[in-house]
Parts: sequence; structure tokens; C-alpha cells
Amino acid sequence: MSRKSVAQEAEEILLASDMIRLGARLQVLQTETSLSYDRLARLYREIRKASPPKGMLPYSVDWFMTWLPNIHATMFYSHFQFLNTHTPSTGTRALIDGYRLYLEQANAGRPESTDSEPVLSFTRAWMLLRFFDSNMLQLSDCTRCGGGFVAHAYEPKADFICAICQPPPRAGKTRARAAKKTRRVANTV
Amino acid sequence: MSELNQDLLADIHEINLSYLMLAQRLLRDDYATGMARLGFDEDVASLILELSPAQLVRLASSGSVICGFRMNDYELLSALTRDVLGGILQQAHSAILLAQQATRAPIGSQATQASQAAQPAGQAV
Repeated sequence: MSRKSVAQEAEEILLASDMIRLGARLQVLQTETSLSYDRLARLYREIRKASPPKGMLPYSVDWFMTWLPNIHATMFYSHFQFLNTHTPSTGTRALIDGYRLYLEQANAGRPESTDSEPVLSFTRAWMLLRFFDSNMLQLSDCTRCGGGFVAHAYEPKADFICAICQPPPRAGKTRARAAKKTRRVANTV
Repeated sequence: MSELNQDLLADIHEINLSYLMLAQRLLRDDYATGMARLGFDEDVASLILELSPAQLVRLASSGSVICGFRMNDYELLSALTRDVLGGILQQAHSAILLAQQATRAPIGSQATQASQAAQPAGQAV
């Protein structure tokens, strides 16, 4: 192994701090940069003013199949894919830029943005790319709108209809929204 | 052939010029993200970025609108204007479809590129 160049290390620190600001967990940083655990943990504490959270990463392919997460994951992935294939920003940079674009969209699309937590966290977005890399997910083309949506790998694509063209009957009727509605009704009465 | 109203012509020039200037600003601000927003490929993006103000004005003062409608596809547009769930998802839907437009095959060459698009693209990660 050759000695690490200072310029490269500086670049990696910048990448890592961008990722920390977007909410990346330490495991993500360790995979995406070659910085040591100690330095990353110190950087994390400097930026977030808190110790990095411990424990396992959310590991679930099925999470991406549920209705709202599927739409959000697809939105992020299409931005990422464009950046990664068509622009000079590739790899980790594309992950960061793609996630920023996604955040912007996700916040604009929400009718009532009371909770600031995005549906797809940065760490989840990173997991999504890992799942694509390891051939656990694929994009299936919707037969109605032609868009590619995140789906289990090797699932038949023949008459796939996406989550937006055909939302499940109870889509968008979450407990949180129902609670909000009853509260509003209570206020007006 | 009837002459187009001078006001309308001036409006077209204005749209053209502000489009080109917006494109330059977006690209200068953040090259990669700007490309994603505009839907440019690398050649066009670098060319637009290098245009001088004089060139911009010359390019803009044509009688027709120079920026294309990106949803110029009946299927796509009808999918987007269909009212699902009161239209909450329209923004998300258009974001997805627009971002994928360049990466996916235009209609006609689907057979070759669809298989490519299905493959995971994030190899560099």
C-alpha cells in the first residue's frame, strides 16, 4: 500500500462531512471513504455535536416495497442514476447530489410538511444502492406510465403497474394523518 | 402567411434568452445537479456553459422557441395528468419520469436499452 496523499484525504474528509450533514451513519462513511474509524467518529462529533448512533443499519429489502417508501426510493434512484451515468458526478458524489435533489423534491411534494424527517434517510438511500449492486432489486417498467420503479429482482415485469398509477386502496391514510384530521375537526368544533 | 405579432416575437426572444441564462446559471452553480435539472447531456452542457453573452443573444433571437418541451410524449403526459389521490403525487411522478427520460430508452430502441437500464447502475459505489 502506498502512503495516502494529503489531497485525497482532504477530499475524503469533505465527502464525509457532506454525508454526515445529510444524516449518514458511521458504517456508511467507513465504506465510502478510506478514513479511519477514529477520525470519522471525531468528525461526526464535530459536525453533529453528538456521538454517532450505534447498532445495526436498517437492513430490509421489503421496506422499499411498501407504498410510500417505494415512491421515494424510486425518486432518489432515478436522480442518482442520471447523475451517475450522464454527469461527471459519479459514485459517492452522485449519491450525495442525488440525495440532495431527492430531498428537495420530497419536501416540495408534501402537502403538509410538519415532520422534517424525510421518508428515505441517507443511510437507507445508500442501502438501496447496495441492494441494486448485489442484484437484489431491479427497476420494473410500469405498463401505464413507462417509468421504472424499484422492485424485487427477478420479479416478472410483464404487467407491472407502479405505485403511483395504481395506489393501494388505503394509500396515504396513515395513522398520523388521521390523528391530525381529528385534531383539526376538534379544533373547529 | 400572416406576420406574427411583434409583441409575441419579443416574448419568444425573452423566453429564449432567459432560458439560456438560467441554464448557464444552473450549470455554473453546480454542474452535475444542473445537468440533472435541465436534462442536458455532457456535450450540450459544456457547450452552453462556454457561450458568450453575444452568442446567447444571437441564439435567442430566433423566431421560434429554442427550449423543447420535455414531456413531449403522449403516454407520459397522459400518465402525469391522470388524477390519482387528488394529485398529491404528481410532482413525485413527474420528477421520476423526467429523471429517467435520459437514462432509459426512447421509444423504439427499447429492446436493447431496457435490459441495460434494468441492470444496477451504481457500480462505482
